[in-house]
Amino acid sequence: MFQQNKKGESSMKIGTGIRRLLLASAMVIVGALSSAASITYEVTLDTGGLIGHVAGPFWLNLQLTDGGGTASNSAFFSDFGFSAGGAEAGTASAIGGASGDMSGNVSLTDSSFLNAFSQQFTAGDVLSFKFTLTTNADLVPDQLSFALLDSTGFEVPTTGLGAIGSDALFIIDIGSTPSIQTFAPDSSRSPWGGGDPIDFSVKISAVPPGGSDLPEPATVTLFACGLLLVGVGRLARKK
Amino acid sequence: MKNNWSYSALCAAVLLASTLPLSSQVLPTGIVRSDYVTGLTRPVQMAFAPDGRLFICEQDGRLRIFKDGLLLAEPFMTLDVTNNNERGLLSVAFDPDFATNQYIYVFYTAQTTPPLNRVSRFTAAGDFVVPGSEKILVEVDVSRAGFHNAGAIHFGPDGKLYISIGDNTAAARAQELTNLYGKILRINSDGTIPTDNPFYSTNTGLNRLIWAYGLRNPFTFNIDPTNGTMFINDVGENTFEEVNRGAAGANYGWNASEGPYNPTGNPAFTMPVFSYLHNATVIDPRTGNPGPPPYGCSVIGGAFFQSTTPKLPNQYVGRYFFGDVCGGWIKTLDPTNNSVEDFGSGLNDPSDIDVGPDGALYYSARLGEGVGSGKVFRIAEAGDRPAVTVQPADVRVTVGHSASFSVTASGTAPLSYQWRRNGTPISGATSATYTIPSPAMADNGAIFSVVISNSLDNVTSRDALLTVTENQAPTATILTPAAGTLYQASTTVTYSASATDSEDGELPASAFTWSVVFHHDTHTHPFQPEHSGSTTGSFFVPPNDHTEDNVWYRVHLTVKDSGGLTYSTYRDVFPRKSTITLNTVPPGLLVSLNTPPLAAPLTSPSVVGVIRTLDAVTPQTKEGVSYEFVSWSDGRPANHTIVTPATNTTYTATFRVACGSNANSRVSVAQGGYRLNMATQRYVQVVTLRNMTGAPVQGPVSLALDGLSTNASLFNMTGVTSCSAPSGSPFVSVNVGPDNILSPGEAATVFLEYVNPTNQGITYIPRVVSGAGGR
Repeated sequence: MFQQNKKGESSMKIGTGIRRLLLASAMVIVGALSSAASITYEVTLDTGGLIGHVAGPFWLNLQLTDGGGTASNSAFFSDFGFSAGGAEAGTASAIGGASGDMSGNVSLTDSSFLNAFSQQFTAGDVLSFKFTLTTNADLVPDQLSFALLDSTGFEVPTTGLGAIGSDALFIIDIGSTPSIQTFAPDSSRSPWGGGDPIDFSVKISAVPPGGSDLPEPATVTLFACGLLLVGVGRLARKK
Repeated sequence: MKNNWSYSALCAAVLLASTLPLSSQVLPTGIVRSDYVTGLTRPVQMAFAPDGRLFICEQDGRLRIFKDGLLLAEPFMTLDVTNNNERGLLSVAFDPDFATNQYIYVFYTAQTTPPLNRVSRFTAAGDFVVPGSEKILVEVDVSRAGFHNAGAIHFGPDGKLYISIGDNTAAARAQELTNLYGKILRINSDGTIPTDNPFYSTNTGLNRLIWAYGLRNPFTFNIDPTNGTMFINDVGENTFEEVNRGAAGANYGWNASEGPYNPTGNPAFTMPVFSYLHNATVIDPRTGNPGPPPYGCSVIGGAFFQSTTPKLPNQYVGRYFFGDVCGGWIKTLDPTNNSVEDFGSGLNDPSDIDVGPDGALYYSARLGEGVGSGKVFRIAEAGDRPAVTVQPADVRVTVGHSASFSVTASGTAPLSYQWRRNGTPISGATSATYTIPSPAMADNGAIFSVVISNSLDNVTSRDALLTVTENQAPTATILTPAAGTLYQASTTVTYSASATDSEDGELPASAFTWSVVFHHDTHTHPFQPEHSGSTTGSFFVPPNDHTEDNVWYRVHLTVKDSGGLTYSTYRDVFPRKSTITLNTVPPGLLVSLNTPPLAAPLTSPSVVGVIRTLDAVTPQTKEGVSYEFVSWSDGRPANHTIVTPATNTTYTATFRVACGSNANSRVSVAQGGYRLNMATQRYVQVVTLRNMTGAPVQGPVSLALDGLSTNASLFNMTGVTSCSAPSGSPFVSVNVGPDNILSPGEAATVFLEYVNPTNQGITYIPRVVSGAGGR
């Protein structure tokens, strides 16, 4: 939680009144988040085919786009796991309402039209993580999508190109019942970075409500407070 | 060109009787034809009663009976009919329970105003009708024209009476279920409507009688009494004659198709099981070239050869016999596989075919319009004793003018003839006809007969009287119309003549007998029946009968002097013509001029004053583009009539690209979220379209984006709307699969690839456009 911790330190310099206000606000946010409908998913990528591929290094790309602009949604990613030989690498790149790092947690909120997160990783046999997604519907839905980027910054080919016009691994049109589409790697196209078509697989599944795989409330609360403190801290510096 | 009415078979006799020798017939080896009934006048359809009597309709209203080898002098009944053109007493049928109820059904054109085609039931008392027993079952107004009259009736094994009705020259009515024209009707024998008729629950009133439709002039049809198979002989327009398999609810395509040519490809049409072209020069529109024989002009028939004592080889049992008037042939059709085989040719304009209770085949032939010229022939395997079927008639001649006696006989060939004078054989008089080249007064009163023999037996004809007189035959001159006179439709042609006789001087009006015959191509139609008592007459040329240009009228005159000798002459009156041309803008689109649709330009010579129907097919598709009619150059609707002008005239139909239809009420549109394609740096939105109805949505399908966000650039758009409002909206094509149909419940997706520097999302009002046509 690189950014969160950093913003948390800044918050220690503000006054007691403000701290009370922050505490109250954080409680409101936590309460709102905990009361909003959400679904948690587990994602597992078989990344063995990426090991040593000439198109690497590879990046995990996450996008949350704002749809109709009325409803707000966020996605909270945690429990990034790399099997032997794998690890996050480099500095994360965040656009819009994206923050975090694969070494800890990653957050996407639809505060901008495009909210994107990318971070390089070294592939092991498996890359796994979880994420919790709010499910607020809009006339044009917010959309969460995942892709693998190669060294050129372009997506690794998948069958999504023919179906949805881009090489996503999967996309979720967010609503009360999120619509998930998953796409297999396209074995007929080489990645932009060169080499043979890459063979990998991806699996996404919802975690049953109340299951042990739900994110820890304390973690969510802490993350929400951190976000709030970052914002207030910036405000305080401007003053 | 093509005849324009159903039973040219009947009227063709006028011409063909004098041109087709009776001996020209060709039949399968071992099968012979013989005269069965002679002395008929304008015979049409016929039927055998369950008791073996043959009932024959004479068009002028007499229902004749042939029994025990004799044509009864007194008709069963004489109906007051309208007998011009194709109208008159046309067909007869017997109640399935005839033995008990003595019910006889006839189809005739009543002498009413307007003229009505009527199907009535009568009750028989022996060989005569019970006076006042008529019960009218069905009536159809046929005031429009005397052509395309149809007129057959038959009972099916289901006990229902089937009736064929022509389109009465209003072709479009055949495709409508709101009238009885161009239809096969089905009624109960008491005239009520069967509740299991195919359109009973969806139609109203008498239109619930409709059993099948899309027919032009089904003058004859028949039903196999053993299994209910029906074949309908539909007389065509310019190109094809058809034999159709009858089926409840079937649509045989007229006037959008003819024969096997279905230019619109309408799958709802039932195509004929057999069809043939009119002649070797007629272009088959399917190939653009002439087609092979057989040829003909008017299909007639028909009879299913079913008999427990067949007089034809067993190979014919179960086959359907049908013929053609102009072709003079009879063929057979195997109902099990629709294969057609030749049977006979040179058979002299058949008009109806039937199977007798003896197992032989019979057909009626008009053989001219004259009194007593019609016949019924019998066709059977050889092996019969000789029999006289047409007795030699008395002959009256002027001294010095030749006299001929003729006989017709049946029986196993070869037949031999020996004529006798006053009982004494005449040397060398051994053919069916005996001619005295130059009779003298000494020959007056001589009696002639003939003995016919074959290997089985011999028979002697009746005695025929030769009367030789010094009386000279009269002569006549047709004064008007003068030779070379041209007529045009909707005008009256008057005719007049004078006649003199060496003994009688100038002959009185009572000596004149007139008739008018309408000629079309190689066949004829009755037009004005024989009538006497005037030196003048006239006829009105109808504007809405034949639309062809190879037509003319022949005015016949016969004068008779007080001595009984006659003289005949005629005057041909030809039409004044102009040429009608149909064009389209853009060129090459389908139009019709009393024809199935053809690609423009369409040129047709036409008789001045005749009403023609112009039709611009709309909508229509050419090379994948759908067009809809805009206007004719004369400002009239897509389908309208014109009166053929006196000068050559071109009519141009203007079309525009048709618009697809708005399918928003049938197709739901679900917009997906946006995603940035990292490779193209363009956003992509997936849109899902789903057919929410129970009916298919015809492709192609497009998604138009009305009011698309300002500054947004759509990269994969197919085009911009310009046909349907609002115009100027970008649209993309939606792939709905190879069947080009979005089926009920089926979904299809399309993605929108765009950039929008102002607001990275895009907004628009989705509009689904379906079907061929512009966007």
